[in-house]
Amino acid sequence: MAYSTLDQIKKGEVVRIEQIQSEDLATQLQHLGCVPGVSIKLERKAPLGDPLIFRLDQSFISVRLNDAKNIQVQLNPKAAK
Amino acid sequence: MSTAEKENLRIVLVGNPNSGKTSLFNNLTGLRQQVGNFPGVTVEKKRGNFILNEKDEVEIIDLPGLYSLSPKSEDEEVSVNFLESIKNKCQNNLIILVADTMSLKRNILLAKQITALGKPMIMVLNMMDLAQKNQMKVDVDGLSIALGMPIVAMNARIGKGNDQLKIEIAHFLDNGAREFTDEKKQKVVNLEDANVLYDRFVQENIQGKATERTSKLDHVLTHPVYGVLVFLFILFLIFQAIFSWSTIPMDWIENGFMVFGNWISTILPKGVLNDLLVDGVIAGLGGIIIFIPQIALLFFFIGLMEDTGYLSRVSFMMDKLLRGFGLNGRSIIPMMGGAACAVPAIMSARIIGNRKERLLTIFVTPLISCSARIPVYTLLIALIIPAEKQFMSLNLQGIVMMSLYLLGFTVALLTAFVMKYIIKSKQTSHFTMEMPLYRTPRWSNIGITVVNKLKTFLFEAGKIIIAVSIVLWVLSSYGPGDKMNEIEKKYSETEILNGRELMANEKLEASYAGHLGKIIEPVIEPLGFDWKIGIAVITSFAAREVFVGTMATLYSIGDEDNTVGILDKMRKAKDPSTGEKIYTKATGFSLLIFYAFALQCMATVAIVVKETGGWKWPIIQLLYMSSLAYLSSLLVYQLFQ
Repeated sequence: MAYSTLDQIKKGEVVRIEQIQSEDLATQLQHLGCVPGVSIKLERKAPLGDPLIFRLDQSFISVRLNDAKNIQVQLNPKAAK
Repeated sequence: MSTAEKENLRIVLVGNPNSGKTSLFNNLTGLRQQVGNFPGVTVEKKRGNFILNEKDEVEIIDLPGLYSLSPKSEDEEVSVNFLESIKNKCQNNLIILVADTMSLKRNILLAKQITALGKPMIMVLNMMDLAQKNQMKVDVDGLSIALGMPIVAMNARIGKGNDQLKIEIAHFLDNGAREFTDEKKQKVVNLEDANVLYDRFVQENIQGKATERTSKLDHVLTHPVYGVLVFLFILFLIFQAIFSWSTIPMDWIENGFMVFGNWISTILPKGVLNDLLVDGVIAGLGGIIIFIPQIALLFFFIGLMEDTGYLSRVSFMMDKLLRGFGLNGRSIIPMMGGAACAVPAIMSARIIGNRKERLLTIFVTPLISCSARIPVYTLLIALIIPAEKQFMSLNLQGIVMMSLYLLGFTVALLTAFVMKYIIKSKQTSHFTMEMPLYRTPRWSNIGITVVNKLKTFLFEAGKIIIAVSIVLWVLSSYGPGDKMNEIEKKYSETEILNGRELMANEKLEASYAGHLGKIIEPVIEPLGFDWKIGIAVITSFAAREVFVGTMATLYSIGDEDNTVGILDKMRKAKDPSTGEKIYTKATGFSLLIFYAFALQCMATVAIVVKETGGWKWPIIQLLYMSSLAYLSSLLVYQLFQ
């Protein structure tokens, strides 16, 4: 299984959240339904390249590159299953 | 339940931001809402009431949006504190959780957290229309039993499901909370549980239409090129609407007031009361009411951008830029709101979780040109720039107006940039924000917001204006000693050309107001202001829009016929000693800059005291903006002279 961080993935790529480093960030993301185990997809980047919009289930959330660095993800979650 | 208990029923609306709580609140209450001092984006609780089954009056409270019971920002804290406060009270509270069906998973978690407060609950599954479009299926009955509360499917946007909700509320009033068998209730509150429930009762379609539509729209609206162009085009459109289209109704209002003033002056006997009403109150009020079309349009556009979900995208696009200035993408919401009115805008800064970024946003928001500046700008620009003048085939008046807005925004950013090195903070900053699905605007919601905001604007500004016009009229009609009578006597003995006007001017100079103006004249003379402008600067300290009313009062005293507009009178104003025009380009631009930067708004100072929890920041803000206004005006006057 291949791992990376959320800031490294390409547009359109779907990954699974493994671990969120900062506790503060983890709670904020949890409120939006983004917790370890869920799959998210990089939808697009802001015109200045940062922040990013991710899609999870039927909703969209935005996360800064800086914060995305602290989120560990598993690549190709479908293939891994 | 007895009647006494029924009267005490209070419904508390909770839910995520953008879940449609406010739509439901508006649907139920209509205009039976207690409008707070300055209704803004819901960052403060709102109260209203409605009649159930034509007999029982029910109180209803709309709380600011929240994601969980552990608050991350000030607006969430308002809601959580309120919920905590009712936890141990026996009062008859019924909590209605309004959930966006499209993000049902996290709402199940929230529902379970709130259940732990031990209060009766009803869950409303809102935006069923979007969910159906997405071919999403929810087993409402199953979920209802599992959560142990009635669930009503609804589309608050068009009022669908309202009746069923009312039936549930009535059932609660008559029979108390519905009983759900205990063994089916889930007791543990954790996310895994919510996931299990979700998977059991909800079927979703990954390729949902509503979600896909948002994704496609975002592709254009947040595109590096088109997205920016669309945003600029929207700004241009708003500008065009406010400064060009709205002139038609504004002309009607102006003419109406002139006719009304003349009518009053003919039906009332000549004398003090007549002068006070016509020159003072009507002239002052007319100066403000004329701006209703512009202010309504501004609130309308901002409401529209918020309601459709577009404003979140603006935050998203601006985040990186604003971060460089010590702000947050979310700061753009208060800053754009500040173009309408700084007071609700400063309150809406509560959505910024980071303390430093929030403080910086509050500090710079009053620098954004608000709607109260429109009257001042319009009058001054018309005074110094001919309407027909063009620059590169664009109307020059419009260009100057736009430049003032740009100037305000730029200075706000620069101020934030400097302040970010002064204020220290260890708190981390995030932009972890939900981008709501795009929706067609809920027109009635926007309409109610615009009406409420206009009401407060008129009421708040009207109060100050009437009070100030009366005081001003008294101060400018009476003076110390016998000087006023002597002047009148002098003119009654000789018949000279323009005698009446000259007399009025001399009398004003000899009045109490004239004396006040003369006292501050040495301070403001380097800015190109004379003592009459001095009077206006003093009277508009409490609210800048009073400037226009003051000018109207000062220049209409002594004008018997009340026929010429204030603009013409100011245009003709000359310095009696030198015979030179008073409102030259230099004085005009200097005044414009002064009003762009000075913090002449008591309501803003008051709200900053409240939001920052003390006098420290408002005082620094007042000192900073006053010095900025004074020095910039000085510079501009010296440059243009």
